Amino acid sequence: MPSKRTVKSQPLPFLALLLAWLVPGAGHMYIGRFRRGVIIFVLIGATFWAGVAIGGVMTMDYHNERWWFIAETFTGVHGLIGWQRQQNVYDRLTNDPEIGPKPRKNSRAEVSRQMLIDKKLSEENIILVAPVDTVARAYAGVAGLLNLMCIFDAVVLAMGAAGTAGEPGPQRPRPAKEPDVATP
Amino acid sequence: MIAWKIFYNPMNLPVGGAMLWLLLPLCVSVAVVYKTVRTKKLSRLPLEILALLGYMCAGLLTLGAVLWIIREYWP
Repeated sequence: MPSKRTVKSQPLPFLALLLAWLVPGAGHMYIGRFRRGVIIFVLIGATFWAGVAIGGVMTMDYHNERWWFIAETFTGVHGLIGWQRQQNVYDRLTNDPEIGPKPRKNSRAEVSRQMLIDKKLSEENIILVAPVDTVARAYAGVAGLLNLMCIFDAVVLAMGAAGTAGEPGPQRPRPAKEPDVATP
Repeated sequence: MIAWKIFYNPMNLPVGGAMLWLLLPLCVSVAVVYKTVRTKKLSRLPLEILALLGYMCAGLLTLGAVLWIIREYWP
């Protein structure tokens, strides 16, 4: 007859990945490393928003800075909020009849359209130019890459806790082992 | 004149060498998150962060000095 002893549920690696991406630090909290999760949550959020404070709403620029944008999206909910804010501004500007619809890629019309968009951004004092753009995107991008490392760590720990691979989870103290009795 | 709003308008940063001070908070952030993930005991975290921060600053200063020497004295 199977025993009725309850077994504590193991963390699911996929859920750890999803939580760690969506809310930085939540993956560590999920696998039982609460204090580490809080530190990660505070630091990654602070670094990302420091970048946005330096660079303004155009720090996350999907249209012109793809690689930085990919790095920034690893901050999860922070990145999604930043993207949404930037997209709102971009949509408002590009809906202007003076700018018009997006033309064919690498055409002369595309270049002149981009110049018009830059002019509008400049008029609103939100255009991001060197060297402020580098500093702002470095902060926001590094926050994303740090969270990528935390995502990997949370997943590996969750797999280790499930007995698959990786570093084992937090250790609990074991009772002292009794000395072996020597056999004659 | 348009009013400046934080998180909306970009900041006016100091131009030149003074901007390099902005590397310091970024290094602190990297050191804290990295050591939070890697350390075995949280009680040793502050010491490990300080050690890593020292290594990072020393490395950056060395790199900066080497690049400055190359720029100044390269024929």
